[in-house]
Amino acid sequence: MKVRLIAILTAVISVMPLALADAGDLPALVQVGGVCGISAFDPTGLNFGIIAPGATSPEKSVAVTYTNDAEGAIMNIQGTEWTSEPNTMPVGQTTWRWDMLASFTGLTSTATDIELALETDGENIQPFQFKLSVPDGQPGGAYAQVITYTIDC
Amino acid sequence: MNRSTLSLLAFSMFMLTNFPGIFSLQQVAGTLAMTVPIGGSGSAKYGLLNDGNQTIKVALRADGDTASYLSFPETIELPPGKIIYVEVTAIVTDDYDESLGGELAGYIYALQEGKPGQVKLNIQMRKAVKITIPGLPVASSTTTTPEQTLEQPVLETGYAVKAPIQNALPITFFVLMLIAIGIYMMKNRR
Repeated sequence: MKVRLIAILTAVISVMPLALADAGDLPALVQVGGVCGISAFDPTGLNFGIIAPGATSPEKSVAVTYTNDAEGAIMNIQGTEWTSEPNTMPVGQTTWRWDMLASFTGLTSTATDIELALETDGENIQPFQFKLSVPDGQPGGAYAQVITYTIDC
Repeated sequence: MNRSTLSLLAFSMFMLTNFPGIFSLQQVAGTLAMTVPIGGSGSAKYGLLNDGNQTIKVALRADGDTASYLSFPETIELPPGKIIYVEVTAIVTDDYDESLGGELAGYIYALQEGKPGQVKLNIQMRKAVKITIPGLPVASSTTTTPEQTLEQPVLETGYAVKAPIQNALPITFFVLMLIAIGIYMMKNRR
């Protein structure tokens, strides 16, 4: 039984590279005037866990995978206030930074621009760090927030 | 290797191969520029690309001075690996207020909502839109659009581009094979 299992697994593992190779890129059919966009967040969401009033969360990181082969493309970031009906917490309690920011800055409900480098060799990964500070006296609850990354090109 | 290990392996493969592509939205660069006479209409094509391996749903909305003149679908489904051109129509009616001038600017946004959680991360594309109304002077506008000279290329729907086209079929086949082995083993144990 064990031998049979090993044989089957070996067969599967040996055809796996073929299957994955088939899932690769297809050749270009037409080149258009550049594209920009986001293809992944890692992780796909943020979770600061449970934070007591007056405390600040540890840093959380999100890696944003983006494509930009269009001149002058801009990425920006904005957020909503934290809500846990009927309570709210200001959007700026979430702070963030990336390579070009020396210190953490408060998230805003209006867009903050992040200038992207022109990249013509495929996808790029940009890490962002986030922290959450809960004000003293903030009522307890399961709060939620939405952060939106926008790309313009 | 027992049954639960195999199930876990199959589930892990499914997660790894199917979920990373959920977030994946790109757009074709350039301003959507339309010249529309008073009492007339014009159109442009907004190119969106889903670079993942599953069909995604995107919500469209307009903002800025051009918003009230534009029509387009509120939502659109994007199959993987294909540029889909959304038809954007601008209509300038006979009663257009000429004091607004001959050039209107604004944006169209395409939003892909993220996974629900404590902090939901959304992806949004922003596309500059410019409507030129011939014969009228350009008035100062409260909405500014980025300096872009590249105009949106007009291509037929469904053209492939240089972006990778990810075919999920072989990976899904591989996962199904693993599951089949698991079932085969369970049967043989009895």
